[in-house]
Amino acid sequence: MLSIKDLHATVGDTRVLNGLDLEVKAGEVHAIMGPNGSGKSTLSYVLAGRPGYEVTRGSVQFEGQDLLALAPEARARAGLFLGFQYPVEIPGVNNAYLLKAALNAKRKQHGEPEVDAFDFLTLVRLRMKMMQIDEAFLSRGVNEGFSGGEKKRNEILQMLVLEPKLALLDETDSGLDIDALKVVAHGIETLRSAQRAFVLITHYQRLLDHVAPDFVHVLARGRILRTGGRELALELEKRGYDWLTGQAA
Amino acid sequence: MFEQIQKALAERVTGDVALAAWREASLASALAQGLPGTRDEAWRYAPIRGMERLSWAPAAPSLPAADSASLTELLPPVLPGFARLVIVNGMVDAALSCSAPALAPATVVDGLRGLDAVTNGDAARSLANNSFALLGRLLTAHPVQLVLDARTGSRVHLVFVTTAAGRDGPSPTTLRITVAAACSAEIVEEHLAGKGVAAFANHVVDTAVHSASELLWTRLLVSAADARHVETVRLQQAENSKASLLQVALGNAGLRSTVVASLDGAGAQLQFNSVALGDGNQQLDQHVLIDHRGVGVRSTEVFRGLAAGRARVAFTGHNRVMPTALDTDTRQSLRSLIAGREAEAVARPQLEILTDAVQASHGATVGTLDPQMLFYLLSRGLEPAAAQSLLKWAFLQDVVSQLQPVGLRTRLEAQLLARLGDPLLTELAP
Repeated sequence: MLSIKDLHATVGDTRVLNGLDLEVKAGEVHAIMGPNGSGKSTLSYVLAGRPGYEVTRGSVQFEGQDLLALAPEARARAGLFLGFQYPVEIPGVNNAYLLKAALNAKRKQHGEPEVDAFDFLTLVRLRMKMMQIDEAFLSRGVNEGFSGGEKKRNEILQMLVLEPKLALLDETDSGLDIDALKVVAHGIETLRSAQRAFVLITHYQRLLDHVAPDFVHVLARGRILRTGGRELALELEKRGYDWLTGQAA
Repeated sequence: MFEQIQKALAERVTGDVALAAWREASLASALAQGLPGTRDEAWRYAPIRGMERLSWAPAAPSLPAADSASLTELLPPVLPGFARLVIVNGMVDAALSCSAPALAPATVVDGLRGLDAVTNGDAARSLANNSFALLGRLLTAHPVQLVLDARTGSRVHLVFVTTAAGRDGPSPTTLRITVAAACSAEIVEEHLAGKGVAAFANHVVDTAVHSASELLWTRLLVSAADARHVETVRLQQAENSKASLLQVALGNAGLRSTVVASLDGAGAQLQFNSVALGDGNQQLDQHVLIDHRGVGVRSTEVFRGLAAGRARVAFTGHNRVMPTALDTDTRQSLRSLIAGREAEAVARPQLEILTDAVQASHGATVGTLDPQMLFYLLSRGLEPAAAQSLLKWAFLQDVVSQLQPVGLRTRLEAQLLARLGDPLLTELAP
């Protein structure tokens, strides 16, 4: 599904990704862990096409397409979803409108008719219940005045409505209390299927207590240093990253 | 120019000696200061070039034919629960009005003199040049006077229509509103221009809100795209009065709105909101002076302006706290968005505090669409054009969402959505 080869990227004058390789197949859940500044968020932004993140070398294939040649909106409609580490507040645009516009953009891409208001509300209400989000949030501005946890749950709600092929979740677990973490994990598990893949970017293994990954990667200095199973995350939890990166904390 | 005005006035001789004398004195005052120019700081962004070349001698006001289909088509729908007063070319059109409140009886000269404070008050003088207001008053044949109290009713929809071509100079209209003490009033004031006539209105308003009364005043400056509109609006508030003034500047090739609000009475409160959307070659300029004079007065000013195409959208918010205005609380938020490479947006906050013990805050920004917000929408699959339109819409919502009544907001939102031009946005309309 996703094939990243020798990816180099810069932000401004700073080289952040330095030859990153990653293969993600349908049905897999990958966790990417790493110290601050290792390039985790840069990877997610590069894949989603954020302006200002320049790829200087390497390739990214997504479902057989050259992902880097696509505009951000085309990547989204092709089935890539980025759950933001810091979801943006957009006062004046209500959640319901954005969800419906995003869903219809995807359906249009697939030659499907636009969803009507009744079907849309039925779907969204079901997903909101799953995410324990009050229906009143639908009429509020996107992430406007939401707490940190509410913003993260709203990201997962969007993911549940859009049902992407590949979800990149950038520190979706940070700032969540244990109950909210379970809700978010439940949302991820709900979508987990043989046709879909997840890349979870996280600092801590506690999310992985609830969403068992198939692979755990350690990212440092812009490349994958080690790949293992869930036991690698547990070891990182005990020993930190120094033994891998060779750097003082 | 002024000779032509004198000639035009002479042709309107009514035998009213007092009126003639008053007009002569006003004309002398206007003559003494001349028309403002863009070198005057307060008029720097006003679309007033070439005004001196106009004759400034409009034809005597007249109503179009009563069966004028185009006029009927032009009129906005009746607002439920509102009396409607239609003023065409400066004259009340009784046939098009409905449930109109009684106009306050007054001679023309008294009606015009009643507006002296608009041109002669302290606040007005601080604008440096008020010849537009002077000329508007002295050329007005039929000042409209409205007293809102429990007897006359308190919800009025005022529709000003200019169908006369503006090539010889602006058509004057004059309005005087009094909201009686302890009265709650709601006014919707709408300005329209006949299609294809390049109308030019010079509008003068004086509103007095008496003690312990409340006024919700919505002003829609939505004339046709080839029209011009210059106006001077004065709002005077007595003690413990509350006023909410919301302006929408959407139409007109050229607009200059000068608003002078004077919070005279202790405890008076004013909420001033304004939204302006310009594109093409539109030049929309608003200059607002809020004068805080009474003890413990409060004001909040919010402006959201969007300039697209080659338009210029300007707003100057001058908040002045006089020595008498102890414990004033004044807040200001001016934000402009540039949405075109050749567009110009101006947001100028001016805070002048002449006393201590004041809470004052102000902020002004001019910028482009937030790239983080834009990327967020793109990352959800929205087309760039749709995402940009959506963010422009959201930007204006701070003010538009406060429009009342709901039926009016729905109509204005439809106009805004049409202007923003993305079919996807039609789903936003209620």
